[in-house]
Amino acid sequence: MLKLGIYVDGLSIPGGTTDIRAAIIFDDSTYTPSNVIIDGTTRYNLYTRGLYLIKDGDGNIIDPMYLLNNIDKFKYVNDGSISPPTGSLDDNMKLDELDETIPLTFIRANTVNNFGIL
Amino acid sequence: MSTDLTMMDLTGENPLFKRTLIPFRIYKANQIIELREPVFSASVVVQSGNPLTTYTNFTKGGTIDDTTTSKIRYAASEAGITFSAALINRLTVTGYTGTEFTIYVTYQSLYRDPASISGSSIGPDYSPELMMSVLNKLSFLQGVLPPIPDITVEETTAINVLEEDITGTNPDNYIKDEIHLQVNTLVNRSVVRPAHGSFYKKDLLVKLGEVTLVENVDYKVVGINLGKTRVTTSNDSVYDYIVFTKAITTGTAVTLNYRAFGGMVCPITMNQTRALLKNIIEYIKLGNFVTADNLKDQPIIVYILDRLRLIEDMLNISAPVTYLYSSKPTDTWVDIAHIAPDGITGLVDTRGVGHIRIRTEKYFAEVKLNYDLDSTDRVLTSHTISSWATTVEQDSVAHITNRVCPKFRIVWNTNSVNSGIVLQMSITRSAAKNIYVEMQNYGGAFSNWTLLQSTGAALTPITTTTTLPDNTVWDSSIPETSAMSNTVIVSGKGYTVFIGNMPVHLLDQHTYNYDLTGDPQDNSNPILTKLGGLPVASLITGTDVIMSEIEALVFKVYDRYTGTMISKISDNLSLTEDTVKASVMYFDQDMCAVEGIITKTGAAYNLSVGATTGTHSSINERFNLRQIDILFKGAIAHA
Repeated sequence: MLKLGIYVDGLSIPGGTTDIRAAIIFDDSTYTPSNVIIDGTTRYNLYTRGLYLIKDGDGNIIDPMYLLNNIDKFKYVNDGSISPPTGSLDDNMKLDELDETIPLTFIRANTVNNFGIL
Repeated sequence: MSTDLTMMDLTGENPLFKRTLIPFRIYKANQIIELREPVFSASVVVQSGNPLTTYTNFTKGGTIDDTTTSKIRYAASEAGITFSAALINRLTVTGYTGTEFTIYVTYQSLYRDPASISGSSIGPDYSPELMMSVLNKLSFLQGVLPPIPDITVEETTAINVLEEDITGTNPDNYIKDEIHLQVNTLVNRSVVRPAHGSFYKKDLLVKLGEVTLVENVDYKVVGINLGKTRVTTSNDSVYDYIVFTKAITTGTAVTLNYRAFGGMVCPITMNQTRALLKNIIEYIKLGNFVTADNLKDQPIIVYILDRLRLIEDMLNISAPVTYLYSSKPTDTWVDIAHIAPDGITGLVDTRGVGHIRIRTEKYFAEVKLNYDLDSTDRVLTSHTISSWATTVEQDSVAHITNRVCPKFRIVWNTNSVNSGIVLQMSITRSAAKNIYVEMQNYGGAFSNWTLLQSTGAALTPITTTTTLPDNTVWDSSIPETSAMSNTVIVSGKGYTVFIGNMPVHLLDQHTYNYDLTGDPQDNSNPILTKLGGLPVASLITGTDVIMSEIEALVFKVYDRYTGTMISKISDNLSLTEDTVKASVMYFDQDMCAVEGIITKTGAAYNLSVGATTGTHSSINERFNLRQIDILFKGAIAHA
C-alpha cells in the first residue's frame, strides 16, 4: 500500500512541532523506510503516515500531491500527526526573490581580475 | 411474402399499410421509379416542390406477378369478398426538363412493412420478414461502407478493391474516363475526389466535357498523401483531391483519367463490419425464428463472411483479439502470437517484423516488435510508435497502483527453428486483477505474426513448457535447445520510480564529502569523496524494471523561483549488470546536477538520489527534486 514518508530535521522536540524538510511516496510492501544516518548520527528522522490521512483545517482529506507540492505549509506534530496546512495550497513553495549577492558558480569562476595571468 | 392475412390488406385503406412521402430524385426524362411492391393504383399520390404540391406528370404501370395474384385470390376467398382493385408497382415520371428535382410518393401497399409496429404489440413483430428486412438493410450498409466501391456497376453492393500499387505502373490501377456528374462544392471551391481514392499526380488527366483542363490554370491537385508518397517507388507524389480554380457549370461532366494507388481498406471499416455482424447475431439470438446453428448458412451471412475473409486475405490486417488476462505484481507469461512454418516451404524466417496495437485499462501503445534469431545481442527489439498511458501528473499517485507495463519475449527451439516461434507477453500490476487486453496485428502484408485466438477464458500462464506451432514442445528446463529472447518493455511515457519533494541542497551532503581539513598544498589526497546518495523508496511494481532495458532516466526538478518544473533526460548513463547510474545537469549557470542510482538486489530495487548544487542555488534553496522516470529502450522521446 502506498504511504507518505516525511523527513524532519534531526530529533523532534517533545510536545512541539517540527518543520518538514522533505517527503516521499513509498510502497510499504516493497520498502521499509528508515532514518537517514550519516557517520553514525541520525541526520533526518523519517516518519510515515497513511496517504489519505492528511486533512485541512475543516477536516477534508487533502490530495497527497498537494502535500508534496507544499510541504513547507505543513508541520510534523510530535504525536505522529501532521498539522493542517497554513496559507494557500497552490503556490508550490514558490520563492518571492533570490539572494542575488551570492554569485552563480559560473560567474564566480569568471571573476578573475587580470586575465593575463591565465 | 407471407400469406398471413394480417400482413395483407385487400381494402387499400388500412393506415398500417400506408407508405408516406417516399422521396425519389428525378434526374432524367421518362425515369422509371420501381416501387418494389404491389401498390393500390387509386391510392397513389405524387407531390413535389416546397411547399409540396400535387405532381401529375407521371404514368402508372408494372405487372403484378402470378404469385402475388395467387395470394390475393386465396386471401379474398378466405375473406369471402371479390377483389377487383387495380395494382401497380412502377411509376414513369415524364416531367424532367433538364433540372433535377425530387418527388414524394404516398400510397397504400398491399403488404405491410415487416418492420412496422402493430397496434397490439410493444415492438416489432418478430418474423422471418423482419429478419430479411434487417439483413437486407445490413447488406446495403455493408455494400456502401467499403471505401472503394466499383462505380462501373449499378449496384452499390459490389466492391472493386484495387491492388496496392507502390510502383505507380500497374495497368490494372489505371482508371479511364471516370465520370463525375456531381462536383462537390465546399466553401465556394469545387472539389472532386476520385472514386478509387488516392492517385498518382503524373498520370492525372482532367477533362470538362470534351475540353482537357490544364493543371494550375484550371485545377490544382491538393491533399498530398505523405504516407503513400513516402512508400512509393515511383518518382511521383500521391494526392487525394482535385480542386477546380474555374467555375464548373452545373450539369457538365468532369471526366478523370488517373492511376489509383489502390489497396486502401481501413481496419476501422473491417472492425465496424465485424461489430455489426456480432451485434446482429446477438440480436437474432434473442428471437426464435432463426437459430444460431443455421444462421451461418444464411446467404447474407455467408456473403459478409466471405467478403471479410477476402479483405483479410488481401491485406493481412486482422481484427483485434481481446484476451482475458490475470495480472498480478509478479510476471505471468502467456502465449500471444506465433509464427508458423510457411505452408509451402515449411520454413520459418529467422528475422521478421511485427507491428501490434495493444490496449488495456488506461493504456494504449502501437509498437513494432522486430526479431532476429541470429542476433548475438538483442534478439527482440521494440520501437514504440505512439503510446498513451496515465501519468502522475494526470492521475496523481493513483497512477502507481493502476499502471500496466507490458513486456514481450519470444521463445523457440534452436535445434528446430522451423518448428515455429511463439511470442509471449506479461503484464504486471501492483494489485492483482483480471484485465481485458485487446491486441491487433497491424503489420499488414509485411507481418508474419499470427495472433492466437481468444477462448474467452483467462490466458493460461506459461511456466516451463509451451507448444510451438508445429506441436513440438518448448521446455525452458532444457536451455541447450530451448531458447528465450531478451525481454522488451513497452511502458507508456516513462515509468515513474520516484515521487516526492526533496530539496536538492539536502542531497548534496549525501553525494560528496568535502575534505576541508586537509593541507591545501597537498594534492595527494582527493578533496572530496563520492558517497552513495540518499536512499529513498523506488516505486517499481514486481520485476517491471529490467536493468539492461533502461535507456535513460528523466529527472523532474521544481524551480522555486520561476515556479516551473524542469524536465531533463539524463545525458549519461552507466550500466553494470545490477546497477544503473545516470545524471544530468539541469541549471548550467550554477553547476546544478542531479543523479539517480538504481540497484537490483534479488527481487528488490534500491534507489538512491544525489545532487551537486552551486552555492547560489544551495543557499537560496531554489530547487527541489520532484520525480524520476525511467525511459526504456525503444520508447519514444519523453521530455
